[in-house]
Amino acid sequence: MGIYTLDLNRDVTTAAVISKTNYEITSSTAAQNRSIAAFVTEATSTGFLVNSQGTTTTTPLSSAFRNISNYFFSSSAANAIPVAQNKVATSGIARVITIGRETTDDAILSGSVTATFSFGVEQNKVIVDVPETTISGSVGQKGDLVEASLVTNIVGTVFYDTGTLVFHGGSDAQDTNFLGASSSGFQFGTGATANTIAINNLSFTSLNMIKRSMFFTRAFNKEFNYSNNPTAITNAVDGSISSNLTGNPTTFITTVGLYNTNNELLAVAKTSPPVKKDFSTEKIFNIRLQY
Amino acid sequence: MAFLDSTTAVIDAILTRKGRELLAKNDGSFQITKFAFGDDEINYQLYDATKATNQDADILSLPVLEPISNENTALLYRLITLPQGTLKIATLSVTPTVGTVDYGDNFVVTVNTTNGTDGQGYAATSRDPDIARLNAAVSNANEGSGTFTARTGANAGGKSGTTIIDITGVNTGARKEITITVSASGTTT
Repeated sequence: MGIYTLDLNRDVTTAAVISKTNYEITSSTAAQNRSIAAFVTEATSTGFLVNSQGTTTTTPLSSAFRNISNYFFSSSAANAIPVAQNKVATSGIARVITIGRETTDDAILSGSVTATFSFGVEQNKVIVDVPETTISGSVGQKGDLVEASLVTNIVGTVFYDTGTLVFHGGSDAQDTNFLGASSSGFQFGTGATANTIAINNLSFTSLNMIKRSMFFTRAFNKEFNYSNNPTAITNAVDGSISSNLTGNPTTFITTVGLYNTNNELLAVAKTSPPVKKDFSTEKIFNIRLQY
Repeated sequence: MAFLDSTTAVIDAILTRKGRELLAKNDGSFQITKFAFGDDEINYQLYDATKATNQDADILSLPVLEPISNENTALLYRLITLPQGTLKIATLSVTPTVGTVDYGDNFVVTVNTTNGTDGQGYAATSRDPDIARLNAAVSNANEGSGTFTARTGANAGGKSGTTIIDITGVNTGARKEITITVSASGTTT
C-alpha cells in the first residue's frame, strides 16, 4: 500500500486566515509606488485629469471613470453620480482615488480609511469611513466617507472590494466641498495652496484572505518501511530488496504528497533533512497548505 | 530530567499544476483525501553496513530539493507498507516493452504487477502528450492487470518523435517506463 486515505474528520482542519497590511500615503511618489491614482471626473469627454504623479493631461481617464459610474452607483444615466449628502441630486463632477489591486489585495478593511485634505488654505480636513451595516450595492460592501468632526457631513463613498474612494459631495460651510471646479485639481501632496484640493494623507488597511488547511499525515511503526526507490533494489526485474535493508527495513522520507480520490497529486511538501523511518519509529507530519 | 519531545513537524506544501487547475475549477474536484510519502532524493547505496554506528549518516546528510509543481515528477518513488521480512517488492511488467507506431495509430499497452496487486489500477502519464496522449480510462478489470491506450497524431498534439510513458501502480507504487516512437506524419514504420 502506497497511498493512504485521510480521515477527514480526524486528520484535516481548515480555517480562514486574514492578514492585514497598513498603508499611509503622503506623497504622489508614494501613491505611484502603490498604484494609487487620484483624479477628477467630469461630465464632458474632454475631462480634466490630475493623476497621482501630479501631471495634467487631457487623456480622458476621468471621463472613462464617469462612464462606469453606473457600475458603482446604479445610476440610470452613465454620468449621473448622486451627490453624496442627499443621494437625490446628481453631479457631473466627482473626485476619485483608486487603489490598485496589488495594494488593495482582497479588499480595504472597512472602518480603516482616514484621509486628510486641504481645500485651498483650509487645512486638516479629516475624512473617515463609516461602513454600511447591510450590504446594499451590487459591488460589495461600501461605506460613507464623512468628516471626522461632523459625521453628518457625508462627502463620498468608499467601495471596499474594488479599493475605490469616490468623493461626490461635501459642505461649503464646512470647507469640504469636493464638487468644486475641476481646475482645483486633486493630487497628493503636503500643505495647502489656494484654489487647489490636495490629498495630504491617506491611510487604510488592506486585507489578504486565504484558506489554510492542515493535514496530519501519520506513518505508524509498521507502515512506510519499504521503498520503490531504485537504489533500494538490487534486481529491478524480480524486485529484490538490497540486502542492507532487509535486516532492518528503513526508509528516509523526503516528500509528502497529497492526493484526491482519483489519486491525482494536488500538493506536495518536502522535509529537510530526510526523516528516518523504520519498524521501531512513528512519524507525524503536519502539512500546511494555504490557498 | 529532560522535557519530552512532543513536537510534530510542520511543513508547508505547494499546489501542483493539477492542484491549481482543479482549485480554479471550483467545482468540488479539489478535495484532498489521501497522502503518500516519497524518498526521491535518497540514494540507499550510501548506506554503509560496514560501519559499527551511523551507517546512514551519509543518507541523512543528503540535500533535499524544494518541492516542484509538476505532479508527474514531484513524487516519483513512494514508500510502501509491507510485512517485516519481505525480501521482494512489487514490480511492473509491460507488453510490449518498447513501441513504434504509425502517426495517427493507437498504441495499446498491457501492464501486470508481480509480487503484489494493484487493485486500484494504474496511473500513466506521457512525458510529451503532443506525441502520445493517454486515454483517460485505464482498465483494471482483472486485479493486477491493466490496459491503456496511447493515441498519436491528430488525436494527440500532432507531433512525431519519441516519448516515454511512465506507469505507476496505485497500490504498490511500482513504476515502469515504456518508450514509444511515433513516425513522421504520412510515413509508416
